[in-house]
Amino acid sequence: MAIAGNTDSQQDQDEERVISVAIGPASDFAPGRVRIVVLAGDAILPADREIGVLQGQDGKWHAVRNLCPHRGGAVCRGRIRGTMLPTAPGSLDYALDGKILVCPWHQHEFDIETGECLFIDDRSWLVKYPVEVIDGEVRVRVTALGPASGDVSVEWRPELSPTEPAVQGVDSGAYE
Amino acid sequence: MEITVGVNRYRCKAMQKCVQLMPGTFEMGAGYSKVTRGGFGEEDLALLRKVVASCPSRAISVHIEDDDDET
Repeated sequence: MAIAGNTDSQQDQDEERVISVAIGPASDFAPGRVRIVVLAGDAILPADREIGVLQGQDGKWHAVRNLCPHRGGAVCRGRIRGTMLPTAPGSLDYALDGKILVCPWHQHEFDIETGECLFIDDRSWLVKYPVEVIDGEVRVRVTALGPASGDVSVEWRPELSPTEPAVQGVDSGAYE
Repeated sequence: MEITVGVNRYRCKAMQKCVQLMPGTFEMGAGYSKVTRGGFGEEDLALLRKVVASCPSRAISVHIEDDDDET
């Protein structure tokens, strides 16, 4: 008897390995702006095919799966900003500017350093990937499954302008 | 009764609902969820059903083999 049966015995045996994918020149990234890349290749897991890459204002590089663990939104189309810290009634404390990624769907906030959701009722994390810059080229390490095969192609998604709504028909700027 | 729990790595999107519901049973691996223990019993079934139902990508499988089936 099965409650659900979605595993494939062959897929279960596929070996896991880490591959380094060249994303593009570091000079093409503006600090504080997320660029979304699409990876295509047989070895790339479906969930790893869209990755947001950014260089923070502090110079650190981050790569994040373009999927919000709350409801599956394209989190990398959200804004990088700060957040309101818990404070005493009557006072407001805006902090961590440039360190918080906000999902455009439901405004869930994530620490880009750790990937952790800031909301205490949602214990979830963004999936992060190791990033390195070698000879001016940004490389992201992703998990690949199955037999080693062919190349991985990289395509960049068009960048949103700062005024363009991240969600069709919804002006997320109103919340900022 | 033998219960086998699995996660399809090709389907899992790391929404982490399984980790939230059964933290001692599932944990995040390299971008997808993994089962960290075995020895499931009848007392786990109610929660496992909830985990299967709450997985948005239908990546979790639970197979139950009754002892009677083996005779």
